[in-house]
Amino acid sequence: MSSKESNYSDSKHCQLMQIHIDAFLDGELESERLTEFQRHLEQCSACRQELAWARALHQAVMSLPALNCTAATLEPVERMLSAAGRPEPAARVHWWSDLLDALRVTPVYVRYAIPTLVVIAVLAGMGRGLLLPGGTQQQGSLVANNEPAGPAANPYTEAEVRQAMADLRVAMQYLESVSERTGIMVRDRFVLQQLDESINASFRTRNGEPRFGLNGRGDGPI
Amino acid sequence: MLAQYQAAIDKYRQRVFSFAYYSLRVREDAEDITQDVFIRLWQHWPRIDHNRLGSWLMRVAHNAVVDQVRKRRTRGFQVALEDCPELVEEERPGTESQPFSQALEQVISELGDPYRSILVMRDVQGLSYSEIEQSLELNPSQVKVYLHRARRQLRDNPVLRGLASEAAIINDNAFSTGKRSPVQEEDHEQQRVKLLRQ
Repeated sequence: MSSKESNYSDSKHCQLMQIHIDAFLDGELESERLTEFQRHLEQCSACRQELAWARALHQAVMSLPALNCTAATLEPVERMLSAAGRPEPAARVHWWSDLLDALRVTPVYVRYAIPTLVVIAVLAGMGRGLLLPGGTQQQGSLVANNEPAGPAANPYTEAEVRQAMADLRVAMQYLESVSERTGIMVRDRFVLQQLDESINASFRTRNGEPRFGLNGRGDGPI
Repeated sequence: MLAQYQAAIDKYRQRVFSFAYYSLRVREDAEDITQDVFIRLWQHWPRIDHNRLGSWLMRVAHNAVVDQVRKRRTRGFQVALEDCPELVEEERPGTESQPFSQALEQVISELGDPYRSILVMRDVQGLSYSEIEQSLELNPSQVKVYLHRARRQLRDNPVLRGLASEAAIINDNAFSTGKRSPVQEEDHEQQRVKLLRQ
């Protein structure tokens, strides 16, 4: 191999040339590239070898015979035609067979895209439910987004809700009364009593005797 | 309508069967797919764009081949030449005795999709690029790139290279220098050893 030939046979240049082999074999190489390609071939024996191999392989593929099926292959089709004997194709029973048929005549990537999108949508929904704590409870609450919750979303009856609100109101009133008693004035100073003393005081009568017979332990319930 | 349907069968049966056969290399499977394709043609006849009938048929055949290949994978199916010689010996005057042609068919059928489909449609069946684009719903540049990669995979296949060297298919006809360089001799010997090990 001469020095000139070895310069042209460097791997980078050869790889570049081998990209054009298919276009050369198909006769689609543009004139400028064709000249460059031929010049390279004259200098590079490895690419000449590769071109010869590519050409031989291309011819071998193209010379593979076109095969035909036997007459027996399409017998079921012929039977179907003679049985039908009418211009409209026979109606099928199940709706899913229509769906499967439609999928079979759509491109492959569309067939894969539909279930993939469904899976992504399901996973996204599940992920959103996990990432938002209490998301499902919010939907079931009475005042969520100012939208009326459906009967299935609200687990409580109206009477139960009213009773709970009344209980809450009583509890708040009691706490308010306790808080009023915890603060007393001693001369000119405002002194806070202990909360337990105040609560226990509410269980005593005016004479200081315990109510409800709470005299077993201390003088009050707390 | 029946006459048009029959004409479509006569026109396209060879194309569909050839495509299925070279993709799967099992005659029974190719026949099943051909039947299936033409039954579907009948069922969808009123809704088909008849100007693109060939592309529609090839798309259905391609989908059926893809389904069949997937079924084979799940079953661990594999076709070996020595297991079913009758499949390659019928209807092959002149070529059935050539191990290179048989190996070539085997390598083509083992290509991944869409390389296999595009190679069979373009190089074996001689379909135009536009027909392939419509059949596989690809754009022109995708078809050319996939075809280039498919051919490259064939060229780089060591079994085919080895067989070609044995059969002296690679003989540098156009630009022959007369004899192999030492580097080529070495490559040739390596391919021979690789082939013998296989």
